[in-house]
Amino acid sequence: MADVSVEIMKKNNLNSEDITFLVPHQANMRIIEAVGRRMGLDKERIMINIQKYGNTTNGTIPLCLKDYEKQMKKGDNIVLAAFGGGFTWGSVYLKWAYDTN
Amino acid sequence: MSKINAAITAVEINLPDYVLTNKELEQMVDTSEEWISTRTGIKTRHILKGEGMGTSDMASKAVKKLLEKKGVSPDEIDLLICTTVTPDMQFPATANIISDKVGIKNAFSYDISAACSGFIYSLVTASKFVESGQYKKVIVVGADKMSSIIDYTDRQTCVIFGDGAGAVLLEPTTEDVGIKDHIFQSDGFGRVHLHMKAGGSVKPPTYETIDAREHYV
Repeated sequence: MADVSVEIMKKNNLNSEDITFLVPHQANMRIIEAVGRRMGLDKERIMINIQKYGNTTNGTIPLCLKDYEKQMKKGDNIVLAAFGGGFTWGSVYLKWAYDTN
Repeated sequence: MSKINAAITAVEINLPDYVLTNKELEQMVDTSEEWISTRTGIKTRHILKGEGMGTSDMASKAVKKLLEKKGVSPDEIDLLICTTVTPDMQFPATANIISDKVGIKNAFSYDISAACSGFIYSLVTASKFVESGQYKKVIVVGADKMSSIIDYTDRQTCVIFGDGAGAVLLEPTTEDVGIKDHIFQSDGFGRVHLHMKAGGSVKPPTYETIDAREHYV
């Protein structure tokens, strides 16, 4: 999860400063923090809500997007990252498309 | 003609009412409020209660909210993908059931199963339909009733998981926003580490599998 998150930054010429938020699958606080560290992101730029909902498997990423929706602006660079059973893992780079008032 | 990008244009969620605290788990298994909190960072999780309630109940509520928020009629939806490891039943796809509950009638729908990576895999799958120009309004809903496959006598797993659903709407745009890139990989060698032993075609349910508690994570 950390490897592909760093890889997708390199592939798209993104530095740590260019990323507004990392949206990690919420499985474990230590994994979340480790991915953030590898990407050079401080905790303020990592979406975290595991304390409230635990690991909801397929729900974690949209639950994060909703909780942090108001903090995202149109054009923000967002990286989604997940790791889980299978094993399956991956990262997605997207540009957020709207402002929320 | 400029390239069509697929952008998330709305997100809505549904969480069941019941909140299971670390304090309550302390009463259920041999663990402590502090151990859970320091080891996992988790303080509470939501649990779907009620006879006959399943993943599609949470998912359809999230999808309804999504449509209301955007003022989109269910008839306008072209495709709905549900990603879950706790489908309502083995078949049909939970996506079909959600579509029925929401009144989505002019769409096709199916499930994707890829454990915890299911949402990002589904998002990118859906984005390809939108980028093709053939589909204008696509919903991806990630939902799980993990409490249905969690053994609440196993202190290792029962403190970690919760129930919930989240849905996004994907729409085409020619602006420089939306899904840009992805890197995905999977390796089935890892299946031994996190799986549900029984209930599938290899080991259909029997009294023995139930007694051996093999229908849990």
